[in-house]
Amino acid sequence: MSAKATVFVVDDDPAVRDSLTLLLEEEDVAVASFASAEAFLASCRTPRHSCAIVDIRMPGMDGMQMQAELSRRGILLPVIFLTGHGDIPMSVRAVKAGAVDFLTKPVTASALLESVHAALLESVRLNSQAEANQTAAESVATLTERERQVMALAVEGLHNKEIARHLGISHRTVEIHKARIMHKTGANTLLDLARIAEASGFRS
Amino acid sequence: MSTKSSSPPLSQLSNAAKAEPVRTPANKQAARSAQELLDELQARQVQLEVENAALRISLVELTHRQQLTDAVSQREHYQRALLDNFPFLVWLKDENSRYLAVNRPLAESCGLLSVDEIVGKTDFELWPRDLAERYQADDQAIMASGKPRIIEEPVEIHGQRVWVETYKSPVSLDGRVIGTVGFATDITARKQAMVELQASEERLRLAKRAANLGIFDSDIRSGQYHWDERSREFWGVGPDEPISSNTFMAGVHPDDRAETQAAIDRAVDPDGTGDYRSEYRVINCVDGSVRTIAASGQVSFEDGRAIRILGTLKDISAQKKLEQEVQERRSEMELLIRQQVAAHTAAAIAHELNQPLVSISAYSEAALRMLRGGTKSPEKLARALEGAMEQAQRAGRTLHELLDFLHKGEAAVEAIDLNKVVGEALAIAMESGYGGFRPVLELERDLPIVLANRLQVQKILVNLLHNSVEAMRQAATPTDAIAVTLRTMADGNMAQVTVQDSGPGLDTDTAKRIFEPFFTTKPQGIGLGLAISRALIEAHGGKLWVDPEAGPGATFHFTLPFAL
Repeated sequence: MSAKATVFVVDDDPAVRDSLTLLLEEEDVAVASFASAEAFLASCRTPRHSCAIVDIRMPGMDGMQMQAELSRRGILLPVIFLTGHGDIPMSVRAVKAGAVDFLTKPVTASALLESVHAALLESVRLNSQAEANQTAAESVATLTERERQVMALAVEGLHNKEIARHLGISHRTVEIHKARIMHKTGANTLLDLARIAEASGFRS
Repeated sequence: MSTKSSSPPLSQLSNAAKAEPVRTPANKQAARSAQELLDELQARQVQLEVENAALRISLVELTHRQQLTDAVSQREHYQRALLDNFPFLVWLKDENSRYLAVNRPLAESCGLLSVDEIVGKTDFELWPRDLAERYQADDQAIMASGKPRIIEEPVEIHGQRVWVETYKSPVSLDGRVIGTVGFATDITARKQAMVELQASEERLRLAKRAANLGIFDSDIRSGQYHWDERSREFWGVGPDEPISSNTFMAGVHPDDRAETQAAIDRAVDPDGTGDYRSEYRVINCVDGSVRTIAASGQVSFEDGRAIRILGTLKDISAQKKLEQEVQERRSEMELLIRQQVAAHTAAAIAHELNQPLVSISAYSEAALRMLRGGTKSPEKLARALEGAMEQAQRAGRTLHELLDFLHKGEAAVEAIDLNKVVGEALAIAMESGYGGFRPVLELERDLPIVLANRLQVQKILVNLLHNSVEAMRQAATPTDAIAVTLRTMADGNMAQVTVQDSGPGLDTDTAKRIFEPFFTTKPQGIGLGLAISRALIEAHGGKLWVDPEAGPGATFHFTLPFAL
């Protein structure tokens, strides 16, 4: 991980933004702070290695709404929510919506930094997964129509003979298609292929 | 019933008789001169005297010794006039109830206009049978008993029955009853008055019962108290037991006696109006039950001294109980509202202190890490420490403002002139460094007094004004366009105050959440002003709300109840 991780701080209280920035900078991460959810969304270019610390209650768009907007835009950003009081129903909703953590103010540095590290790891995981998915999708896209048909039946667990009967083609032809599929997707085993099919969002 | 012109009542007839000479156009025969009548009578009497000396004596006990002289004639004249001019029916009957002599009103009342025409007749020839039988039976009874009687009975005058009071007495001559004498007075009016009185008393009785009223009438000079049945019931006093001021005071609850006595003393003060009003508890001496009584009466004065108190007593126990329940419920409500205020306040304090605490904690830990890690940037360390300090001070300020807001709220509710308080709040808001703005006042003249805590209302108004001005400043409204309208008006039994600015107004979401204790749109705001303001207004029995329809700027209204 060569690039420096970035933490976004979104809070309407300038003192909270400033103090969190100072604290996080000591952890050798880049910090960018925003006074509102709208300001953050407007300039949102999320690097691969990043997370956001967001005040759940803000004038205008609040933290939960901001999170919903991120997921609507397909932006994979782990979010740590800060709230003034332990609101359990709200924290449940936030976590269900993909929040990494939910911290009650005032928060200790250790709890916050622990959450930040977990969020950054999650960011890496999300991004590498997304990359893998992207690669898989790209490789699946190179398959011919017949190859896609064969792959669909193969990942369902059908044997070559059954696939041949299903498609009204010879057993030998199925074998040739399969070999080409494995080559194009880079899969070594049928299990690999199934994983790639899923990651690519492939549908038979 | 006897006042129709076709059948004048006795009283009218006798009035006619009083006038001499009589000139009733309806009755020309009656216009014969008194002289003529007397002459006739005299002639008749002379005849009677000749025939029966005893009877002559009995005739008004005056004529038996008279000689047939002019002097005697003159006297009889007067006597005749005397009899004829009484507003009574007068007669003399013999022992067989045959009329010996009558006066003119009697002759007129039975339609036989000459007294002579009646003489020698019996009741059966003059009156309807039922009356005649009744009269004769009375005559016989009176002669048998030898004692006079006063009877109320009907007579028929011009075909119409009226009530008369009749005096009937036996007439004796030398110890021997020779007949009866009588006179009758029209008591129709009296009868009517009696009937009306009875009806009136009945109405009073019903009204008293319906209103649950007792009546008392105290003669102050004699110390005699008259209480009706209901009043006696309150005290538990029997219907025949005598009542005095002691009876009264003994029943009054000991705690209420002094005040009750004071009310009486005020009422009997000759310099006062004599109006008596008092409320006290009465303990029933029989069953020990306690009632709350509202007494209301009027004192009569004579020669500058109170002589009588007359009035009513009303059992208001049920009403009192209801009032007490309402009071208790109101107290519960107030407690609830106070608890709510406390809860809101606590939440607001928590929020307001949490914000700086987040920063202080983060600044301090950042500083600590810098020191431990051997900081390369003293500027950053200074920034962290400065930040921590500032935020600690911010927390302190917040606390002071909160306490200020709350402590001023502890003062009692008073009668205040809202227009005046609006003026005071305006002066404070304009001087408090929030920057200039243009106030527009639309104050209702003669706005009734409201019940509220002046300082709290002032604080709430200042808060609303600050919010408005800040919002407009934040929205970069040019200073000369920053206007706030302050409006007061009466709305039913509440006064309504409106604070309306010329700023950008509130979006729907903000309007929905603006009273939440955690909610603020200000970068540095306390953020709890509206939450506490609303709780305080509600504690006063009013409401505080934002009006999303009015605009274009933000519009807040609050109401406060009028003093009465």
